[in-house]
Amino acid sequence: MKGSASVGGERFAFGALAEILAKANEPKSGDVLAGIAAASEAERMAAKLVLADTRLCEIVDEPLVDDEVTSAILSRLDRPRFDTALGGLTVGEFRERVLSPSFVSEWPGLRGLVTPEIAAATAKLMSNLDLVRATVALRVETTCRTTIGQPGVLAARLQPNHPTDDLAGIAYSIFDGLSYGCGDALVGVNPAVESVESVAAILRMLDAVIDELAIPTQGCVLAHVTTQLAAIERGVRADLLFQSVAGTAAANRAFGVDLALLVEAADAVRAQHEADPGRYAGRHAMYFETGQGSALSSEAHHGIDQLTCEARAQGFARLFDPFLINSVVGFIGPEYLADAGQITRAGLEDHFVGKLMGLPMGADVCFTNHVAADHNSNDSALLLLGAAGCNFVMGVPAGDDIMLGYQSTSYHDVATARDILGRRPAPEFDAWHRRSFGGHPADEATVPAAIGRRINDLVAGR
Amino acid sequence: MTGAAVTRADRAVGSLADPRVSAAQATPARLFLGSAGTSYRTGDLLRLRVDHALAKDALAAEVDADHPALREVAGRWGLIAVATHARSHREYLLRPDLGRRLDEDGIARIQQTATRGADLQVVLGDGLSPEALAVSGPAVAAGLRAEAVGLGWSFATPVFVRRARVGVLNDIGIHTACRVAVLLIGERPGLQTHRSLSAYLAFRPKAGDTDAERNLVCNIQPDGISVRAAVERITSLMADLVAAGTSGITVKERLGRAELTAGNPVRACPGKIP
Repeated sequence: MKGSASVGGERFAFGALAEILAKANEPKSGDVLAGIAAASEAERMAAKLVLADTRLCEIVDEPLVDDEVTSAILSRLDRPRFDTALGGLTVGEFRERVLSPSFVSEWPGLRGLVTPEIAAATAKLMSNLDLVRATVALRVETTCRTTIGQPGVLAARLQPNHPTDDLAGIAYSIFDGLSYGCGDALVGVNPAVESVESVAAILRMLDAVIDELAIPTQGCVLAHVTTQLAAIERGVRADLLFQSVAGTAAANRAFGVDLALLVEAADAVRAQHEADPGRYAGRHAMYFETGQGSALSSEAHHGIDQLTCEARAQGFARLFDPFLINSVVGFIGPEYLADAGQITRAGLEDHFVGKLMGLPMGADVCFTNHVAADHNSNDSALLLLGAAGCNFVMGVPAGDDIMLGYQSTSYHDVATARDILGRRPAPEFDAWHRRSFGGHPADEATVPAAIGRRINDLVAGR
Repeated sequence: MTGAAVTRADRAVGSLADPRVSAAQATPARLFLGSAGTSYRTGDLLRLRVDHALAKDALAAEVDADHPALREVAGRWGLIAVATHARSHREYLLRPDLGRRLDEDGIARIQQTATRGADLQVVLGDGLSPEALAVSGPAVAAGLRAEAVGLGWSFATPVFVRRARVGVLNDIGIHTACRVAVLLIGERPGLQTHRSLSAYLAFRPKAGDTDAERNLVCNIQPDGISVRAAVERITSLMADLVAAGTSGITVKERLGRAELTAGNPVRACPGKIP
């Protein structure tokens, strides 16, 4: 696709869709690092002007890269229905449609027709406020053991990581997080040691804690999918199967996965769940993490900008009907997102493109110490994503992940954001939390005995 | 057990009389903080911000060849000070590719003055925590020199690289033709520690090598892996690399279970510098 536009008396010509999409992107240090960003603000606006007049069918007709991510996504597209419903619209017209109050009623029939590139293109014509406004009404409910995503719900992943996977240390963190109402989305541990034995041991412990305390949630250990599959083969139960995914086949290879492996993994976990229908109320069994910059970091971006790569990663995840997708937005570092402004923007974009495609989007609102962001900017981004209707955020002890070495949102932050925004935990969990903790965070005087005994057992190695 | 059995009237006893104390023995996570409303209590908020402030200051600290720690190294074995293409701290953060390449002056200086074809080339890099290099770098370098002498290995004049990324090892290998290079570099500061040093090992580093061709000993810091333990592990790995004739993922460090549980995560070296 070719196109040109004049801005400030200068004419800018573009030779391909990938170039238009990249140069129309809001500023991202990763696009600069990749050498594909607009060279000036005028050129950025020229690209946006061209993009606004591009028809959605033109975007579908010009795949950005010929790989299995593209082919798998396009093979699921109902082209005749797409052509009738959306193909003739320009991106500018589609933006207005998405922002109109009536969109929420037609969206259930349209979301399957929104390709990643269309979602990304639309985001590039939106302000931050647009990105929030557009997603407020788009609710995506999913069910594994429990359901999240209902109106009025802001869920949280409890992230009780430990630098050496000490089970008692993890259990103490879980207990403290539960007391603040975190953990309704899932209790998810990033393992420090990527061995089958160790991952299986954490999975068994999560299983035991969740079952014994009858916590309405699901457990997950975020090891490589092959490690989790090996644990399942040993008879360990996995409520959710996790994997990081990226927006190109080459970047997925750098993650050690491809379409066939993930199909096999999804089949394995579904088979386990279908054999236990009393435990699993719903069919959603996968948990994916994405984040802008992952394709560039493995030098597998093919000249595609990082927002479009992110949308493609989510589109790839959509093939597996996930329970949750988490954009780990501020984790990757300043060479991809330079500062708080870029991280906040990327978080809102990632949430928007995912929701528009019908995905259960959450966000790890976070920062590393070498990026120009801090606790204050993280607080602001949390409120914006909460207002946008984000399905879930992270709950990390004091926001300080002692294993991965970065700062995320804390147990306290989750409770505070829910109070400010008038949100509740997922209903089943909320009821459990009120029964167990009286709705208040725990302190030394209010440790429920059953939880205390279980932690004591773990400390004693039982 | 059902959820209904867990009630506020049903209290824990024993070691959970003070869960904060028990938890502190099991995890460095900041737990059972209590709260003001739903927010942190003032002391906890300020402790978090102090740790963040120290991390940010460690990141922004500058260490150059005149720093006392590097003058100590220079005084004992000489020191070749060079820099990468990153011209400012901001450029260093935003352009990791520039921090992986020696600039022209640096290449010329190494070609003129470095030891060629040495058995061990120690490289000192500021990385994302120059403080970590200043605190632990000279002692680790001294330990490695003593071990090299013991092994009968030749020990090259150390090189200090300013605004260095791990990938600069490739340029070092190209221009010194060393057998084993050990890069001691400051890691991204975290809230738990802001002066953690890592040692990246490469056997005959060359253009195109990635982390897959390197071995790593991380978390070298006063509250983590001691200098003595680090020197032992690096030395053992150096010998393994030479025996294998290669470095990287095919050479696994032989660690006992005790080392694994002694605050030494295998994968989790926080803030690995790409």
